[in-house]
Formats: sequence, structure tokens, C-alpha cells
Amino acid sequence: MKNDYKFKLCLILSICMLFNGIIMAVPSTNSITAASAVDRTITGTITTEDGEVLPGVNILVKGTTLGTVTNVQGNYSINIPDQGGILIISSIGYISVEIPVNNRSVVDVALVEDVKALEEVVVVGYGTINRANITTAVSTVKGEEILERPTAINIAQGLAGKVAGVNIMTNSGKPGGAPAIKIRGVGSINTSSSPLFVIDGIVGADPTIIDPNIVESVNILKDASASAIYGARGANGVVVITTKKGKVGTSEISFNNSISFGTLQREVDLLDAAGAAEMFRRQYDYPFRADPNTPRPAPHLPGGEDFPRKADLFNPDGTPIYNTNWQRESTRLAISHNHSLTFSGGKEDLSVTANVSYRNNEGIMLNSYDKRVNAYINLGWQVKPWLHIQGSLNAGANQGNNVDLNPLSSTALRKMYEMLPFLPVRYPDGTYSRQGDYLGAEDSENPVRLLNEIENVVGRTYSLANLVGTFQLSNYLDLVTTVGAQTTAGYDFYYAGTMLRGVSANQFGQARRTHSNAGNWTNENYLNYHNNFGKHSLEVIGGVSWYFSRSTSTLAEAHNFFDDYYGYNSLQAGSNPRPPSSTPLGNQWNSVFSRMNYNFDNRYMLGASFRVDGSSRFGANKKYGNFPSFSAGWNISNEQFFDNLRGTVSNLKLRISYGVVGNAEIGDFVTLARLTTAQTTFNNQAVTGVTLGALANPDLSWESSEQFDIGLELGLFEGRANITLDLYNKVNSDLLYFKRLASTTGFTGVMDNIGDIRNRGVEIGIQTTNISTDNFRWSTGFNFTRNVSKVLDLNGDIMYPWSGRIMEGRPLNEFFGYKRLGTWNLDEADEAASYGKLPGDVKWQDTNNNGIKDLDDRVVIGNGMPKFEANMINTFSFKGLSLLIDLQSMYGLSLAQTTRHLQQNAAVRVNSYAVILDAWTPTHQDTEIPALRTPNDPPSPSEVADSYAVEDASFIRVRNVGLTYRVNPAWLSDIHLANLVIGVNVENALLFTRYSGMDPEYTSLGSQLEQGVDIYQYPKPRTLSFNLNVNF
Amino acid sequence: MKRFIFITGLLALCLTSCEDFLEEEPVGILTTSQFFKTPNQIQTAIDGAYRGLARPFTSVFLGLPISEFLSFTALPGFSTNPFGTGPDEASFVRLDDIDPGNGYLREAFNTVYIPMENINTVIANISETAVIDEAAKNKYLGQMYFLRAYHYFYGVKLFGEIPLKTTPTTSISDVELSKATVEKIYNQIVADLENAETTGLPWRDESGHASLGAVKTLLAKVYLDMAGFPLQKGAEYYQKAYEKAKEVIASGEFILFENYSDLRDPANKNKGEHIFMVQRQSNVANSELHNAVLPPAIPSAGNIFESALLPTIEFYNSYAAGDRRTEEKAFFYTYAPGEVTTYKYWDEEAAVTPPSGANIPIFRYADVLLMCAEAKANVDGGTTSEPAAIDAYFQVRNRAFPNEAKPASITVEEMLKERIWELTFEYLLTWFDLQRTRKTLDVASGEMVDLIGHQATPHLRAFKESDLYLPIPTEQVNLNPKLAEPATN
Repeated sequence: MKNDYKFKLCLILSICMLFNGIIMAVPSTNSITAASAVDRTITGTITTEDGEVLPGVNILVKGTTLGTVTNVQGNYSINIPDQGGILIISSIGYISVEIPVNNRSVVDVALVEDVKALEEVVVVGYGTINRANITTAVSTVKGEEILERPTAINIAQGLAGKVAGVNIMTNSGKPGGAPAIKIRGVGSINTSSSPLFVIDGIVGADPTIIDPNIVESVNILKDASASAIYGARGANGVVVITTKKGKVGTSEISFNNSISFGTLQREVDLLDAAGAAEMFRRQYDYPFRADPNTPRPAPHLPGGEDFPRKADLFNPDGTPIYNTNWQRESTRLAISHNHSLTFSGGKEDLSVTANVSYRNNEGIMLNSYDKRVNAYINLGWQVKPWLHIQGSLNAGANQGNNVDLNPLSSTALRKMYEMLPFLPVRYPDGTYSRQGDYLGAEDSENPVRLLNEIENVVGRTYSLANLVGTFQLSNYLDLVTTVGAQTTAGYDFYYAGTMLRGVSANQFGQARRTHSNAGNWTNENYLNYHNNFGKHSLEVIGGVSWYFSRSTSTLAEAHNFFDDYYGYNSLQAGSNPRPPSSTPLGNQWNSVFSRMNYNFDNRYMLGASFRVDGSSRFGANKKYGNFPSFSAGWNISNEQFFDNLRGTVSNLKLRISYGVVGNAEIGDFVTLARLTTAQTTFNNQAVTGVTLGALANPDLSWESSEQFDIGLELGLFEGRANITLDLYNKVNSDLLYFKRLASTTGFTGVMDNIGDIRNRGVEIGIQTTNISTDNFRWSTGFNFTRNVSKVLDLNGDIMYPWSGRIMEGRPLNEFFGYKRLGTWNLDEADEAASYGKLPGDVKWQDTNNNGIKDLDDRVVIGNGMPKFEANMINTFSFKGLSLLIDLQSMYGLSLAQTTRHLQQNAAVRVNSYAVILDAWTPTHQDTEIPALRTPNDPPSPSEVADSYAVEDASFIRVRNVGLTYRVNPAWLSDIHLANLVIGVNVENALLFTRYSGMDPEYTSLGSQLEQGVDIYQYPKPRTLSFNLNVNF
Repeated sequence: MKRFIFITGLLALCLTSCEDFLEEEPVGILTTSQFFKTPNQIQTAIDGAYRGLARPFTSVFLGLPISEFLSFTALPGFSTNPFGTGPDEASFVRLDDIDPGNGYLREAFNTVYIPMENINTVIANISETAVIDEAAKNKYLGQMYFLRAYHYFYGVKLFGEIPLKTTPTTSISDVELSKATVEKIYNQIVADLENAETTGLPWRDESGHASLGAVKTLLAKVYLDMAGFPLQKGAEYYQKAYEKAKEVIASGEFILFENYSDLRDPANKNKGEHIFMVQRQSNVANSELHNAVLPPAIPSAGNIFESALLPTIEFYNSYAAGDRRTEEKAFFYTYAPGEVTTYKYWDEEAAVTPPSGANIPIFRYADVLLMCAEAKANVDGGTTSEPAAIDAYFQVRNRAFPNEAKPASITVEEMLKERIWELTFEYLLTWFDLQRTRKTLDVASGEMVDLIGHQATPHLRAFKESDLYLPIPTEQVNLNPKLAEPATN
């Protein structure tokens, strides 16, 4: 440790001295000589091939410093020497041209788009690199691609399906969709598998505060060599977000608007009122009841036991009066609107982008919403010839009303599926129905009432500020200094009324307020040296980084309110205050990093990086970690021997990379010995007791991830087809793991670095331009991902997440349980009895043939992650008209359909899936569904992990269909518009699957280890939106 | 040139105090090295050491409560749980060969040693401290000795041979403890309880801390146990048990409640018949027992659990006609025609305003009285006419049958039956009796019969000798292979 420290100090000091030395050497003045001879004026318009005007195009007179840029209308005017000259016309994304002026006074030019995406610049950690020379696996998504889904309210939603190797599951139907991002699989058990986000250089920034409208590009660093520059935080991949900046020479106003209408995507097949009545009739008619010879009519039938609401709910013949579709009653047409106004431009030394946006998204569950207002400004200023400042500020607030998601309590979501359909939402007298209104049913409130009377308002205000100074110390050396800060103030307010049975009636109302505050600052300083020596090109960076983070939260709660008037606003009105709680957390980082990129003649590329990360989170004996990486690339197509092939194969590159990165999401204070306080009781009063909490582990540290990647990039037919293929092998080791200890130690275990998980996979990305004529263009983006995980070492332990198992030698996300063979037949009564079962009870496979049902009978029954995933986006454009079709598919995944399974209990006291009427009867024995019976009859126990509950959920989804029309700019110039685009989108348009639940892309529990557990799923909307984008 | 001084200064600033920068400041969390320094800290550590008592009654499996309590209470075979929590619990209800991987075994084993570490840590720390006076220190130590004895008693009764550890863990690599013989564990228990007897604890502690009454009750129980299986120390220990129980009776501190419902009355917490209880309170440390033993058919506010502790109808019928314990809402409640549930844990308040704050009884005076009578009957060869013993028994019997005359003599068998009827479904009390006597009540004949070879109503087979102790959990054997070896000393 001491050595580490010395090493670091030396490095810092040498960097510091280097700075000073170089700073001294910089000349104190710097002048640019302006040309003087000005004789005539040239004007013109720069357009695209399609005739669309191009603002911001650079015009330079060759051999001089004379230059200008085109205005918003694409026009320019430039004075050139009398003798004429050559205009160099260039713009990013277009092929530069040199046009001799000759005697002309008007020079109009149509620029040809540079179809070779190879010229693209990729933002990587601490700098950018030319796409052609990159040696690591980095994928880029442009801001406009994220905006293809106009109702995406966070970046992750917009990224879904866009990048090979990046699995994004939209795990909820609530506004925002609760997306889970997994880059190249899950490699951790107890730490997060979410990638690290870097926003404009701020490491560890929160991506949910960035409005998709202000995103310039997103670069995803997938392999370890790309992410190793982020050291102990890069193991899950890094998502680098760059926000929009103003462009010098332009001035633009753009106003984007959308209004959308969301409806329930699909309904699951539940029993209707007649079906539910029939289900209960059959329950009471269970053939093996205590006294089978005496008729036992269900309560709703003539002769059945009386109950207060009987006449309100049923006709005298037992037929139901009401037939309520609770899925429809609990959801609504959700109307949302989003507006975003951007001012962007720049003059001489200044450039600016400013954006304000407002979103009001309704959820399809009654009363759910998410609102956000956000402001963003980004200012670039060439303060001095040697100093450029880029400053940005993003601030805003959002608020939503949540629907309770706890799958194991009586929530509205649960009751939406379970509420009996012969109950009305309200009786004619206005009172809400309750499920217990039917005798024997599980007593709980109806979902409409729960949605109307439980408030859970969650929101926050946030800000992210960033200042980047780039000091040009010489032509070859820059010093970059970044100071960034983030703050968040969040709140979570909850109130459930005094009358809600099963929720808050016992407490006579329940109000809770949580406030949290978090802040962090970061400072990074690095030197960037870049130079070309003939055919050699070299870039080296090196720097230091500091990060400081603190957060705290406070929870207060009260019960027993005399009235619902106060809601969550006045805790002091509750007569039963609950124990408050508060938590302070914090961590600090100090790092040193460096990277080198070398390229010879654009043919051979080498890259290497090294980071030393120190963190307060790491144990005293392991404060600093080293994270190296290496990569190499070979642009085969730039070799001479390739000249003849270049007509067909325009680009061929091979690259390999290797790196070691870490996952430091081990939590704060986990390495220390801790005591626990808890309330106990003496004298009938609460007393605080202290017990031993956790053992110290000074050796505890980051998880480590080692990854090897080999990639092939292939461009065909002059860039008409670009194919990227990557193979990777990633082994995460030293997992943060609760190592079991013999409990005679007094502890069940201690956090330690144990275990290995491997992820291997293949990623294919293909971009093609299938047809490109003057008027018509068809392009396709396709990606394919296959990832295979395997637990290599788990200290010999076996873990059992919901319906699942994690053990050595097996993949993650495996479902594991009893295999249902069907039901016991009447002629199998004796065999059934040996298992303690009756005919009509569930029959499970006795895998180990020992004559009893035991834990060893369980087998693998599915996997929650897909065998492969493929996405395809086709874009057709004809003149101003453009059609986009975004298809998503996942194959070979299963879901634990626990919703249906719980509702198909043999003695169910709630509504069920329609298929339950296929249950066993003496005359219908060939079925998987046990005989229906009441809770007082001999039970047929159910298993959470049952093969009957795990369903194949492969699917194909038309995720997004968008039609846009760009009005011919020529028609617009009279009304001072530069651009007008109208569009209509249908998101989540169609879904093809055999899955019986709402949606196969879902989990009710943790997305990391329990993906695909469906327990009362939050339904997803299908959204129709109309969009109007105007540019001035 | 000057403009760069700013940059240089900034960089220089960044370089100061690197090492301090990465120090953790856990201001919201106590670390061990900061503790046991003041009288208040010691008091909270003492109070914390009692938390282990609640473990069997609070463990939650997927929203289904107190699975450990429900499972072990089913061991004698007098009850069923048709709404059980799954195969782990069903194994106990129907008497499978208990799989060492069974989840409730793991919890039961942890329930011995997790609290033990707290107790040993407190004993080690307060033995040395000078911040409290000797009298206070002794009373604290007395409570801790009692708790250590209590947890080892449950450990040795459930598992037989287990490791014996009376000092705190110093290193996490020091886990390979060997098992100690049953006798050695009993000796430690007796030593701790005898120590506790001398520490100046009051006979009764209405705050809920361990009292001299609790210490002597447990000691009487331990002596009675040592007299029976497996140590079979015989008459000498029956005599010790008899005398110890008589000490508790002679203290005059404890009385039987008049009505069975008084046992459940929250006003009677730690009073009257109650000698030692797990302290609960509805606000912050509530009890799940009220709801968890009720079948779903019984309306009780907040009852969302699908589990129950139902006596078999055969067991219910084994009570003699006119037994007040079978009066409605005494020990039982008929919730549907022919369907009876246990009512011992019914909490009237919780049925209206949950959660339940009822204490959970551990030792009560009726148990002491019956121990006294049984021990004397054993000393006297199976039947006794000793008035003190008959008086003790008759107090309990008279409450159930007010019109029955006092007998002239009593037998061991009568006492064992009375214990089952009186103490049934109180955590492990009945099972521990069955274990030490190897006798059980044949509910069909109403007679005591040999446990081994007897098949109880809900069981799939008869009791075997291997059922007397639970297996050491697989997980613990894997973590400490020495647990697979028999005790050596």
C-alpha cells in the first residue's frame, strides 16, 4: 500500500511538473495573420444532394485564412482576391470539395454525404478517436436515433435494440419503462450490473436527468480495453453521453412537439363473471370433500350459504348481475405531451445551445404520471487562442405518481388481475365493491379504489454542472481541466387512507415521507499529447482525477389519522408516529490514468491504457487497484495488396483487445466491523438494543473483470454495407459475495471477494443502404447478440432466487423447480396416496424416484435471458417522406408466469385465468390443472417453482413504426421556417408471442438475477403519437 | 506568465492530503472498537442480547411467518398445518426423515449461535469493565449466563451434540469447532445457571429481563431433563429438579391465573403465572404469532397469512369431557363445525388493530408446578403421595376441573399427560418432554405409550430413534466438516 502511494505521488508530481514546465514554455502571445487584399464578393447556397439547405458549412479560400460559414438558409457571402481562387467547402458528414471560382460571382454547391461512417469521430474516455483507427469495441448511437421513439423519456429507452451486445429490457409499463441495461451479460451477484455513465466527461453521472432532446451522441464502450480507462468502475461497460453544443456560424431555433395516446397493449385471458361463478360452483362441488353425498352449492347459487351482498350481485338463479373487466377499469387512455425548444448557434469565438423541455406523461394505470421540466445550456468560448472553455448546466425537476409495485401485497396491480369480475366497480349507492363481498373470497379492496385512494408521489430536483477548460500549451500538447458537480434532492411521499382494508385500514391511515439529498463533485486534469511524425501518429494522455460523494436520506412516518384530509402532508396529524430513520453515505475516489494510441500509416494501430484507482470503499489492505489494457488493430484494406479489392471491399479491419476492469459498486462502509441497533422491548416500551452486525474485512475490494475481444469490421460496395463482428470472452472474478461462515462464529457470513462468472458472446451489427436513388432510399440496420453466461465458481454454494437456482457450472437466470407431470388419475389413487395426494391433485415428477416429493426432485425448467436477441430497423425514404419500422425479437427466454400460477391455485379465492376451467374432474382427468376445491377441503399444495408456471416467452415485436414527412424547404422560406417535419409513430405496435401474460419483456423482481419473474405485471401501453418539429 | 500561476496553484491544491482523502467516515454506523465504553452502551448491549429469543417466532419465509415455530411445534404429531409453507415445513408435519438441507434446520442452528456470539461478547467485555459497579455488573452477568444456558438448552435438545463455545470469535478463520458431548453441554448449562443464581437477580422482573424465577425454572427443567434421556441420571436429578421447582413455588412470587384467557391478557405481561416471556410490543417489535396460527377462515384484521396451527381433532378429543381448557376460547376455538384451531395466541387487540404486541410465553408457573409433581413422583418410584407434589399438581388440575377432588396420590404417567394437555403448542415444551421420557400420548386410547414405534395421526410413519434429534444442517457441515464427526470429549 505504501508503495502504491509512493508510486502515485511520483506520478502526480511528475505530471504536475510537466504541466509547469510546459506552461512556462508556451509563448505568451499568439497572433493569426489576416489577409488584406479584398477585391470581390462571391455568394452562393450550399445544399445537400436532395436540395436541402446546409447551414454551418465552412468556406475557405485555399491558401489564405479567408473564410466564412453558411447561414441558416445555407447562404454565404465571401470576399476573395480579385485573381480568383479555389474555395474549400467542408462540413462534417460531407465530402469536402475544392471548387475553382474562375470568373463566377455565384457559386452554388451540392455537397455529397460522406457515406463512409468511417470518418466518424468516436468519443471515448478522455478524448475522441477516429472511427477508422479505433482498436476497441465501441458502438455509437446518434441523438436523432434516440429520438426515433418520441415518447422515450430517458436515454435507455431510446437506446433499446440499437446496439449489438447491449441488452436493454423494458421491464415495466410505467412511464419511463424501468429499463435495465446489461452490456455483455451479468457478471456480478451482489453488485450492480448497470454500466457506468459518463456525461460530458463527468464520471458516474446520472443518465436519467438528461433529456433525450439534448443528446448529441451516445458511445458505448463494450470491451475491457475501451472501458479500462475508467478502471474500477468500468467492468459493466461504459456509456459515454455527449450533449449538444452550438455550432459557430449558425443560429437555429428548433421546436419539437409530440402528443401521444397510450392504451393497454393487450389483455390477458381472465375469467369473465359467468366463468368465475362457474369456478366457484366447481370448487364447492369438489368430489373428495368431507361429505360428498350432501350437495354443497356455492354461496351464489340457490341453496348456497347466504351473504349480505348476494342479492346485489346475483340473480335468484345464481347468474351474475355484473360483468366487470378489471383490466379495462384499472387502465385508461393515457394522453401525454412533450415539448422541447432549442436555441443553438454561435459567432466567432462563442457557441451556445440552450434547451427547455417539458414532458407530461400519463401512465395507463389510473392516476399514474411522470412530469418533467428541464433546462439546459451549453456554452463554448474560445477565450484566448490558447484557451477554450466549455461549460454546461443541466437542471430540472421531475415528479410522478407511482403505482405500488410490491408483488406480495394487495396492490392495485395485483387486484387488477385478481378481482372477481362479478363485482361492480361501485354499487348503485356509490360505494366501492370489495372482494370480500363474495362469501369466502380473499377480502381486499378493488383496484380502482386502490388507484384512486393511494397516493405515492415521487420526485426530485437535480442539477449537473460542468466546466471544461482546454489549454493549448503547444500545437502538440493540451491540458484539459474538468470540474463537475451534481446535486439531487429527492422525495417520496406516500399516503394510504384510513379505510383501505389490507393496506392501511389496520393502521387507520398511513403517511410516509422520505427526503434524500445527494451531491458529488469531481475534478479531473489531464494532458493530451498528439503528434504526427511522417506516417507515425501518436496520442498520449495522462492525468489525475478526484471524486467526492455524499448522500443522506431521512424517513418519517405516522399512522392513525382521524381523516384522510391531510394525506401525506401533515405527519403530525397522525396519532401514532413511527420510528424515524436516516442514513448517511459517502465515498471518495482518487485516480491516476493514462492512455496511448499509436498508428502507423493508418494501417497498424496500437492502444494501451492504465489506471490506478483508489477508493474509500476498498478495505484498508487494498486501497488501490491497477487496471491495464492493450489493443491492436490492422486496417487490412489500407494495405497495397488490397488495392484491387477495394471496389468490393472498401474497408476491412481486424482488431483485438484485452483489458482488466473493476466493479466498485460494493457499497459504502462494507469493509468495516459494524454494530446494529434495533428496537427491542422491555417494560412494554421500545428500547434500543445493540447487536453484532457484520465482521470487518480489510481485504475486501473491487470485483475484477478480465475481457478478451476480437472484432472484424467490414465495409462493402463503397460503404453501402458495413458489418461489425465481435467475439468476446469476459470473466468476472473476485465477486463481492457473502461468504458463508459456520454460524458457530456468531455470523452467518462475511462479505468477501469470491467467485467467477464468465460471459461469452458474439455480436453482429450490419448497416446497409439497400437502395439509394435520387428520390428513394432504403436502409437497414440489423444487430444480433448472443451471450452465454456460466457460473465458474461460487464457493460451492447454491443460491435460490425466485423460481431459480444459481450454481457452479450453470448459466445465470436459470429457472429451477418441480416438473409438473399433470394430475393424479382416479386409477392412480394408491400411488397418489403414497405421496400424500388424492386423485385430482398435482402430480410432480419424482426425479430421484425415492417415493417422496423432496428438494432433489427439482430440475431446470427454463432461463430468463434469451438465447439470442436480434433487432432490425428499416428506413424507407421517398423525397420528404420517411417510414421507419423497428423490429425486436428475443428467442429462447422463459418467464416464470407467477401471476397466472398464483391465480390457478386449486383453492383459489380470487379470479383466475380462463384456462382454470380445464381443471381436473372425475370425467376430465387428462389435465395439468388440479381439481378445484375450497380452502376447507384437502389441499393440493402448490409450488412457486413449478414447470407449469414457467413458459416459453420468445417473441417478435414491432417496437416502433414511424412515418414522417419533411415539408419541402423551398415552400417554407416565405414563412421563415427552415424545416418542418410532421410525423406519426406507433410504439409497441404489435407483439407476437405465445406467452400467456401481458408482456414477455418483464420482471417484477431484480433484473440482474431474477429477470423474467412475472408477478402481477405492470401492463405496457401501445402508444400512438403525433409529432411536429419546426426549425427556424 | 502570471495566468498560469492559477493553474499551478490548482494542481498543487489537488495534491494535498491524499491519504486522508480516502478515509471512510461512517458517521451513521457504530463500529465494534468504539463500544462497551459507557454504562449506557453496556445497557443497550445487554438489551440487544435478548433479541435472539425472538428468532424462532419472527423468521419469515416468503411472507409466511414463523415457519420455524410452526415446523417444530408439529413434531409431536398433535397438529397439522394445511396451509403450510411448503415441503420444508411439510416434512415436519408428516414426519419425513428430515433432510439436512431443510431450511428451518438452518435457522434453528443459527438461533443457537448467532445470539450466543452476542452473549459471549457481552460477557467478555463487561467482565473486564470498570465503568459500572460490581452489583450492576453481577446482575448483567446473571442475565447473560441465563441466556447462554437457555440457547444451549434449546441447541442440545434439538440437535444433541453441538460445539460448545463460551468466548467471542476472534478470527474468521477459526471456524472448525468440534462437537461437545451432550453431558459436557449440560454441565456448561448447569454451571451457567448456578452462577446466575448467585448474581443477585430479583425473583421477578416485570420489565421482562431474566429473573431468578426464570433461572431456577430453567434449572429445574434442566435437572429433570438430565434425569431422563439421554443422560438418565435418574433419581438424584429428579430430586434436584423437585427441590429446584419447590424453591420457585416457595418464593411465593408466582401464581396461577384464574382463567385461561388471563394468560393472553396484555395487562398480565410478565406477571402472575408468567415467569419468562419474549418481550413484544405492537409498535416496533410486534408478534406474528396471533395471525400465523390462525386458519384464513377466521376473520382478524390484517390476517394475510395462509398458515395455521390446527390441533388434530383426535388430539382435541383426547381432553376429558368437562376440561375447562377445551371450553370455547380457552385453549381452542371452533371456527367451523368440527374444525378447531388453537387459541393460545389469540390477541384480542390485534384482531381489531394489528399488529399484535402480545408477549410470547416461554416459561409459566403451571409448567413449574407440574415439574415439581412429576419429579417427586419419579423420585418415589412412579407414584407419590407427598402433599407438596400433590398440591402442585392439583393447582393446575383444579383450574381445568374445578369440581374434581384432590387425589391422594399421583403417578408419573398422569403428570406427563397433564403436561401435554396443559402445555401443548407452547414452543417445543411438549416435544422436549417426549424426548426426555420417550413416551407420548396415544390420542386414541388416551394412554401414554412408547414414543419409538408409535405413529401419530398426521404422520406417515411411526417414530424412529433417529427422529429424537434433528440432523445438523448440511450447510453448517460443509462450512465446518468437524460437525460430521461425533463428539470426542
